[in-house]
This record gives sequence, C-alpha cells and structure tokens, in this order.
Amino acid sequence: MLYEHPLSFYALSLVAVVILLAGLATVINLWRQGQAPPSAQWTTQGLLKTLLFKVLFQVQILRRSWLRWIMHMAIFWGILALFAQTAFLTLLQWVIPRSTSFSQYFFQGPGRLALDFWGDFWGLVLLVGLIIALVRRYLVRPPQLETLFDDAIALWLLVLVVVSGFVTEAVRLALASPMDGGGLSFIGRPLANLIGTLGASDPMTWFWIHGVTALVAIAYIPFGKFIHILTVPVELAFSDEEDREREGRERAYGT
Amino acid sequence: MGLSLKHVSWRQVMEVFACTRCGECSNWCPVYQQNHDCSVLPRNKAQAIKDLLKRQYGLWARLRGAQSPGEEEVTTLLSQPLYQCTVCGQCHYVCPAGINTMELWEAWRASLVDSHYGPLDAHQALVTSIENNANPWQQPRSTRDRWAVRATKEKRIQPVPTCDRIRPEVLYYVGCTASYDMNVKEVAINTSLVLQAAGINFAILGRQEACCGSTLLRIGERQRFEELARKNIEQFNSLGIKTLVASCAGCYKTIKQDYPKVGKLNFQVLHITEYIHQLIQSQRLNFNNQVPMVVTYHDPCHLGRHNGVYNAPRQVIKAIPGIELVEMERNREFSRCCGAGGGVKAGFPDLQASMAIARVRDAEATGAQALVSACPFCHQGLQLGVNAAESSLVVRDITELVVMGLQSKDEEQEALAGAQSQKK
Repeated sequence: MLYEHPLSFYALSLVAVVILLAGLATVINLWRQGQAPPSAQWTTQGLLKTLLFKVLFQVQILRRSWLRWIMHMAIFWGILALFAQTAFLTLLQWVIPRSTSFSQYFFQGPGRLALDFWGDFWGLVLLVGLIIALVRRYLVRPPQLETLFDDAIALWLLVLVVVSGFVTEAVRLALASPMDGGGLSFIGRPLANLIGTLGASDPMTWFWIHGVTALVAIAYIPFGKFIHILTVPVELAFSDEEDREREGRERAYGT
Repeated sequence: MGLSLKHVSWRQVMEVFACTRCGECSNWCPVYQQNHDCSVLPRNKAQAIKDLLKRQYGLWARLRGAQSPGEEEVTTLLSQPLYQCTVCGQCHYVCPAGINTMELWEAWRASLVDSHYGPLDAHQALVTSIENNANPWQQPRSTRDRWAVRATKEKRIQPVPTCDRIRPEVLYYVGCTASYDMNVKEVAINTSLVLQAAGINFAILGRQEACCGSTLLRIGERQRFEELARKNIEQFNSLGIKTLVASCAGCYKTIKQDYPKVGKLNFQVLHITEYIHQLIQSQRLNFNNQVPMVVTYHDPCHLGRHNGVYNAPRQVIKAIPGIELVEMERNREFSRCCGAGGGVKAGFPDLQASMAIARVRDAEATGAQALVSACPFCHQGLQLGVNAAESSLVVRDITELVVMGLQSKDEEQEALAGAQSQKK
C-alpha cells in the first residue's frame, strides 16, 4: 500500500464539504429573497424526458453545435464517471469489509482491471473535453466567448484535477510492483514507464496535489460557474414543461 | 437603493445563476446584431444582475454589510441594457440552459421600476397617456371607435355593434394601435370584414375599450398593469362572451398569458389567425377569389415565440387561393424581431429602425412581393423599416389577404368606390 490515507486529508475533505454546504446555503438563501413562482404542472413523463434528453444527453447543445456538444458531454460524463469511481473506491475502502468476496473481487480480482480501465478511459474523455474547451477559449476564440476570471478558474481547476490525477496514478504505478495493478491503465502505465525512467518522486506529493485541487473544485461549486450543475437541471425542468405546453397547443393547428 | 425583489420570483433570481456564459445568445440576439453593444446580451445582463445581487445578499454582504449600487452604476449596468431589449424571447430558444428569458427580463424591469431606476423617461409619456386616455398614443378615448364609424360611413363594412347594444358570442378586442393609427386601422376594418363574412355574432367595446396594459407590463410598470388588468378582466367577464378575439399579438399575449395571473377569465382567448383557421376548417369562410401574390410571413414575437402560434397563420395564408408563401431564412422560433416591442420603439427609435430594416432585408431576400404579419404593432414597425430601407416590399396584415381572398374584384371595387364617394 503506497498511500497512507492520512487523517489530515479526510479532515480537509470535511472542510471542503462544510464550505460547499455553507456556500449552497448562502446562494439558496439569496434565491429565496425572491417571491414564490407560479406552480409548475409537472408530469413524471415530462420530467423523465427532460432528464434524459436535456440533462443527460444535452440535445439542446447538439442542435447548436456538434463540437460544443462533444466538449460538454465529455466534461459532463467524464466528471460524473470519475466521481462515481471515487465514491465507489471510498465505499470499498471504508464501508465494505475487506474480507467479503465483493471487496476481494475489486482489490485483487478482475474487478481491479475494470477499475483501472474505467479511471483511465473517463479521465481521457474528460481531458479531451477540456482540451477542446481550452482550444476554443484561448486559441480559436470565437466571438461568442468572453473570458472572465470565473470562466478561467473553473476550466483550469478541472484541467489541474485531471492532469494531476493521471500523474498521481503514474507515480503510484512507477513505484509499485508490476503485480500491484495498472494492467489496463492504458494511460497510467505508459506514463509510469516514462516517470520511471525520469525517476519517480514521492507519491504523496502528487496525492496531495490531486486531492486538494479536487477538494477546491468541490468547495468552489456554489461560488462560481460550477453552480450551473445545480441550477440548469432545475431551470430545464421548469422551462421544458412550459415549452411542451406551447408545443401541445400548436399541434392543434397542424404543421 | 438596492434592487427590489418584490416582483421577481426565486426562480428568476436563480435563473441568472443558471447562465453558463456560453455566449450562444450573442449569435442570435437581434438587438446585439444591430448595436454590437455587449451589455445588451442576455449573458451580460445575467452577469450584471448576479454581481449586483451578490453585493446586496451574498456571503460578503452578510459578513460586511450590503452594498447598494449607485444610480449611475445601475443605469449603465442594468437599466440601459434591459430597456434596449425587445423581450423577443429569441435567447430562450437558443439557451442551452433553457432560461425563460421572456419572463425574466420583464421581471427585472419590474424590479428596476420598484427600485425607482425605471422606466425610461421616454416611457413616462406612454404611462401617463394610458392612465389618462386608456391608450398609449395620447389620443382621446372618445375617438377610439372612429375607425368603425368611418368605415361604416364609407360602406366598407356593415355597422359593427358594440357590447352595450347586443350580447355577443365573440368580443373583438381591437387594441390601441389598430384603433388609432391611421395607417394600421385597416387591420381593424379587415378583421371586422372577416368576422362579418363568416356571420359571427360579434361586437366591439368601442369607446369602452381600454388599453390591455401590455405596454405597462413590458416596461416594468407591474403594479399599474395589475390595476388596469383587474378592471379589464371584470369588464370582459361581465359580457358573457365565449371567445375574445384579438388581432394584435401583443394584446393576445397579454390577455391570454398575463391576465390569468391577475384574475380568472370566463372565456377563451384566440388570436385572429387561430380563429380564422377554425372558421376555414368549419367551412364558415370560403375563398372564391384568386390572390396571385408571393408573400413571406413574419412571426410576431408575442404570437410565435411567446405563445407558440406558428402554424395557424401559415395555414390561413396557404388556404387563400393563388398565394405562394415563401419562408425567410429566420422563421418560426428563430424569426428576427422587428424591434417594435418591449418599449424599444419609444425608448430607442434608431435601434428599432435598424432592426426593422434588417427584417425587411430578410424578407427581400426571399423575392416575395409582400411582407405579411399578424400584429398591428409589427405592421407599424415593419412599415417603418420598409420606408427607411426604401424597399419595394408591401407590408400587409394577414387579415387583408383573407379579405382579398374572400371578396371578388367587383366587391372590392364597390367598397373602394364607396370609400371615395364618402371622401368627396
């Protein structure tokens, strides 16, 4: 075991969650200064449609630009999948007893290979999305983009998280024995070989860089651009229902 | 003074935080395309509101006390950009976050009014006129039905009854623009002709008709609007009508969408294009005259994007024999606003003119002979664009085309002769 899972990291995680919750409370309190909106006539079918098409597959972005759709889908699904992996690993580490066959399957069995592949695959997907975003924002510079500090910090935080994630994995693999996993880490393994030839550094340094940037990104959610993770699905639930009502009336007049 | 949230819902506060600043709105906003002023972009307006709100209610404000912006700051950051917007709703249809900007900008204008930062000076005259004359055109209420009296005298239409004489099934709500504007009163005359041709038991309110209050609502005078709407709702409900028909897209949107938020309506509200479509379907209107003409249709924002009525007017145009309908590149939910709405014509006439010219150029590119709309206010705005662009296009209201399809040449000549002899 290369990592010591220091308590100080978990204490820091707690601080990040507290900042996240306090920030959310402040921003929700700000919204609540407004009046109650007219009640929406939601249907389960309508909400599921919105969730599937607009939130998960973001067809509204595809209608405007396929490149921006690929970019946003890559970032969205990349983060979601990597967050799910982190949550799963936390469960394996702290909740599910090590002696269970389920736990053994993922620590020593074929499940480990699947996790290696999952992490590298979705990390790559996220990286591709971020590279498209960086190229658009800083090289192509389409007239529609305007870069404020908030736009830049959100993007660079994610870049730092994903790049440090790959390096952390590579340093770990470079220092571990070949039997210690990484069989399907198709990015981590070549990177580990490269680091091995350069001389691997202390794995904990990279663990901290990756961990802290990820925690900063989480704590930053209510204070900047990342708030759209919460607000956009809520707004889509409202406005999609209103659009459907308009479209329903229109169907009475043919096409 | 800080921004008041008296007429802003929590959803509308949240909506400014839902903007991802992707800038898609900048590719579509018809105002930005003319004045190239970034502050008018929905993205920038949302950012400005967010910044002001954070200073007033954010974490920093909680720790160190709220900071109210100065009047000059609010004017530059918010009032000017908000009032330059026609609230056409284009940004809603291209926004990946689906933000309901159609309601959002109006709510924040109400906030400006509540906080004494709005409306613009140019709008004050409209407000005063609506309060004193029940119309924004500074015309006396006593001449509101003059169009009907004259058209009847000229034998262009049969006498149009008023609601105090009969109990109609249908109320034709004429609206201020068609009632008073000499160049647009044809909309009222043609609408009456269509309803008479179909044998509809309809009436108008005549001098008892008051402004629907759309102008007040659009410029943020929500309290005044609600007072006016309450009176109108009471009047309409007392008539015992089944249907209210409006030939103005702005009045239609206001009565259909905004009145129910103030009080319950006991009748259905239809735009004249929806009603004519129903009359054609039920064969109460039969066209017997060829109208050989190539036309293009401009979707009024309040009819199209705000209410989703795109097909009815097109079906009506297609039903008229001889007419060929060609579409502009930007049509339906992507129709380019003519710039007349949202108080822009009164507040920024030059901006409105350039927006109207852009729309006229769109129409010219189709090769059509006529630019057809279904709103007296758009008609007015587009006519201005045609004049300014020195275009050969003719602006026509959809009801005019319907009348052309209904009346034979002889009837048309007869009506024209009647009008000319009256003038002599």
